[in-house]
Amino acid sequence: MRLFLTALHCNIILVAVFVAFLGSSHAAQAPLLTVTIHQVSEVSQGNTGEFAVTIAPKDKPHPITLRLKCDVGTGKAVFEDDSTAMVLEKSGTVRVRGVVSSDLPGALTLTAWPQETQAPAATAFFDVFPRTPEPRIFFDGLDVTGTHQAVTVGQRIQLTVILHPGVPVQNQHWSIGDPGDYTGGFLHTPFAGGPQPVVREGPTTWFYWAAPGKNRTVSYQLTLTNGVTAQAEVTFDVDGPWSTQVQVDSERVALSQPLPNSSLLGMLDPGISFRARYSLPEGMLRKFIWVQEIQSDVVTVKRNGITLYCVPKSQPVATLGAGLDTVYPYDTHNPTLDNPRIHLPSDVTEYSRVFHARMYLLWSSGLTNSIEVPLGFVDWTFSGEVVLKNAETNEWVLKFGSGGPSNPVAPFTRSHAYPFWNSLVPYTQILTCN
Amino acid sequence: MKPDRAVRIGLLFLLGAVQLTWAGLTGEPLDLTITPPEAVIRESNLTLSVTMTNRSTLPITLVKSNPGCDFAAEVRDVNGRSVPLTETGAELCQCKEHATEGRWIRVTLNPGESTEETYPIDLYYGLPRPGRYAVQLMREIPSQPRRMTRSNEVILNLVE
Repeated sequence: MRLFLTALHCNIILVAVFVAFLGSSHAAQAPLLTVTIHQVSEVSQGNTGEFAVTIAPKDKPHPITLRLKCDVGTGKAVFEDDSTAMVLEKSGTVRVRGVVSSDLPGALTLTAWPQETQAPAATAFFDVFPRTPEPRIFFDGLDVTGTHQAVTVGQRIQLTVILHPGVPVQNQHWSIGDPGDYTGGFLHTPFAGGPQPVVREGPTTWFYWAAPGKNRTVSYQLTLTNGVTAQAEVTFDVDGPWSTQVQVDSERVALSQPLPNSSLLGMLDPGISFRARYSLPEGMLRKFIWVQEIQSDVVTVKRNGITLYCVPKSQPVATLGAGLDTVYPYDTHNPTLDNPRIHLPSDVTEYSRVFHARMYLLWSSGLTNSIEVPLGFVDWTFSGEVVLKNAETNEWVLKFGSGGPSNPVAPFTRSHAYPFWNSLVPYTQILTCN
Repeated sequence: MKPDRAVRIGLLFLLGAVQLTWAGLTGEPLDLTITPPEAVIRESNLTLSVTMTNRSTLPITLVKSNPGCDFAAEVRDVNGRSVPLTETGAELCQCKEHATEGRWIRVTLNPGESTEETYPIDLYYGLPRPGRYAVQLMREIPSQPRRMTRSNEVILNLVE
């Protein structure tokens, strides 16, 4: 009859195996011999741990042979006399010294063999812990500790440290560098979008470099419960687009009548254009991802002597009609255009629109699991004010109109900051007025 | 005439004939092709890719404004029932009444040229998961008001 009771991988490993057996020649009368092994303290490289061995019944000596062995992987332990086998007459404590640290949990065994038996009466699985841990960083399944890795902006970087489960960890922390250079992801739904945080605690972290650069060091710090610390590093050379420029051309604001009795305030065709150019490392694909955020869009309507201030409906409702413009992405072609036009109804006497937007340029490598990375943005405005001249023909007069980049001298701002929105401006027919 | 020149001219005629035949097959000067992202779709904010190609022999100028406004869609479940519009989708049905316009991108397609567009179908239609839906898009041909061109039909297999 065999009963196994095990408790593996606690801080102090407790493993007990009970074996009861009957003597071969006096089966009916022989007392039941039970051996229990209990690990009292850890075994580490160069240090001694203790195991309590209990032999029952205790009426007379029942000599057993204790043996130390490594079953899988690396690891070596010996008794106090440097041997791997010893005889124990009765219950007592044995001391085991670690020689070589084990790389797999429970790789070493301490077995108890009663005399003239073919199987051990008890087995304790244990580990020899290294004197100080030496963490290794893995990236895509490869050990990259202490190496330089060439990667691309937007590429998913998942780093993992695998520790022996018995290592008494207090804290694991990743330091990645300047927060503006990386992100934990980029969420983009119609109603919310923006960069995501990075999980820096624990054995695994993942992130995406948002900006190119050389010699970016990522370090991993391990702190054990006994205060011992260890560290590992990997360095990244991050490639991606550089020297980005966006040329902005805008037409003047004007009134037009595309159809009889239909008036329109907007920029002359084709409106405002954004033409991007950048340099790319060899082999990378040229891509243009435009994302536009409305910062404010206020329409003032004067009707029957009453002035109303209106904003296009946004979901959820946002101040001054701010949010993502229509759809993500705004466009994927270069150049892209816009023209914030207003259809002028003849039942209104005065109309004006003041519009502020930010057009982001992003790039994607197209690699599997990669995300878009920002290259910069253009802030631009449109404003126009018109007065009704003839209600019958829906003719209007332009009092004021202007449009174009907020900074005409240097319209494009290079930036690795992601667009951020928590509302959508779908530009339905609904205006919210007060 | 040298033989290789004759072959080139012949090829040019052949290409022209192929283009005309294709336009004849689809029957429309503007061809719409929808591409679903994957066979089984898990994402919650699904966007379809739409390719618009000029199959005519003349340039076509079109405006990309709000995809929910630019395209009409037929979205049906496995029982052939029409899937209802979302609030945003319903509001975009009356595009002509818009006072203010948002996105406005004018594109000129020369014969044979294409342009890509995105159609955020979950924004415009309430598509419960799991479910299979047949989707077809339509768009007015710019030079021929009120005449619609239809896309291919795709089946979306949405899972939770």
